[in-house]
Amino acid sequence: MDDRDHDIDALLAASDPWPPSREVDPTIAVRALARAEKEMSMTDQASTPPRRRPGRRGLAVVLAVVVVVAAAALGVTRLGGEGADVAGGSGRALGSPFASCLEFSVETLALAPIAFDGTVSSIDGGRVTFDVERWYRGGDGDTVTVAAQSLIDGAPELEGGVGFVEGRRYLVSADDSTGPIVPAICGFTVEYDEGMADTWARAFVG
Amino acid sequence: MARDDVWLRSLHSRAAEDVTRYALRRAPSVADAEDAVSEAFLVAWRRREVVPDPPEDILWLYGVTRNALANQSRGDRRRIRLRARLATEPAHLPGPDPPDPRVGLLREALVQLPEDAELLRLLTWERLSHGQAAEVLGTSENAVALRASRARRRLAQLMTASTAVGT
Repeated sequence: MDDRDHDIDALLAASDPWPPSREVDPTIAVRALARAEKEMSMTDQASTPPRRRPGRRGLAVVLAVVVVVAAAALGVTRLGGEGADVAGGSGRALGSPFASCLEFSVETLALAPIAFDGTVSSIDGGRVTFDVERWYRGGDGDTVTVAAQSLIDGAPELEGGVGFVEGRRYLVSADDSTGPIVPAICGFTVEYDEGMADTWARAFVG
Repeated sequence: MARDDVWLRSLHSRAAEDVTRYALRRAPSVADAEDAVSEAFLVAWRRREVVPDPPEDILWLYGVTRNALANQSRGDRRRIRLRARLATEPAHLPGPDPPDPRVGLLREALVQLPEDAELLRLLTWERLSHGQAAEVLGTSENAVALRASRARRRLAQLMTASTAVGT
């Protein structure tokens, strides 16, 4: 390539409407996958391999996906008249045709790169801030803010959504591989109780 | 790795950002990009036995996404005009202001090279090698090198001609 070719390539790069510096909303791909999975469940059940218990590497992958999907599922909804800001779903087990929750286990929980015990101090749009009582892994600050994207029409329904409420205390595990810290769902983020806190302590011992 | 749901999610975890960016760069709207990405992963699942292993699997997804975007346009008469834009001017999704005023001239020139525009975008936007672009487009590496060289020269000529007419 000569200088003129390099010049053309530079102009082509400058014409990029979505250059690497422009963030891609991760919920687009999450919704896209959920829609694809929904269609699979309707049309491909006969040929879908039976679910098997994933190996350790698989567990990490699934945990990461649970976390990524949570970016779409953990919406922030201001409940008028309820007197409380609630982020996320209702806490009920939500059905999903394909992305059913990975069974909770201490082994899987232990793979989380971020885990803490904290009380929700504020909810602002898609961001939930916690006063941290204890870091199990991945931080040392007094507060931490996590991403909880708004539910969008057509977004996947997921099992094990958790609702964040100001003033309540939670045990949160999360992933940061996609940039913002996104809580895991499916029992990997739960409202605090002493029994679960013992479980978390075992998961992150050492 | 078995081609099961864990495999699909692993593929999604690795490729989703690149594939989504690929679609956003070329789709007439974010919703169209999302449709194409969804289609790509659905096709990946249905044809999981032929999806290449990493890292070529992402190139395979680019090709499927490209077809999905083209099919969106073909399948909807209301999108006839958008199809023309898809082929020639994918930058109609709001993007950063181009730093160089010649970018406008370049976009106009690309309209006249619809067959080669996608090749040049793969090389400069996705930063693929000639061999990788050849995989996406289903052609040979030599053909890509030849076409790219010829397309750059043609673009330069068209821009020069456009500048001359404008002065």
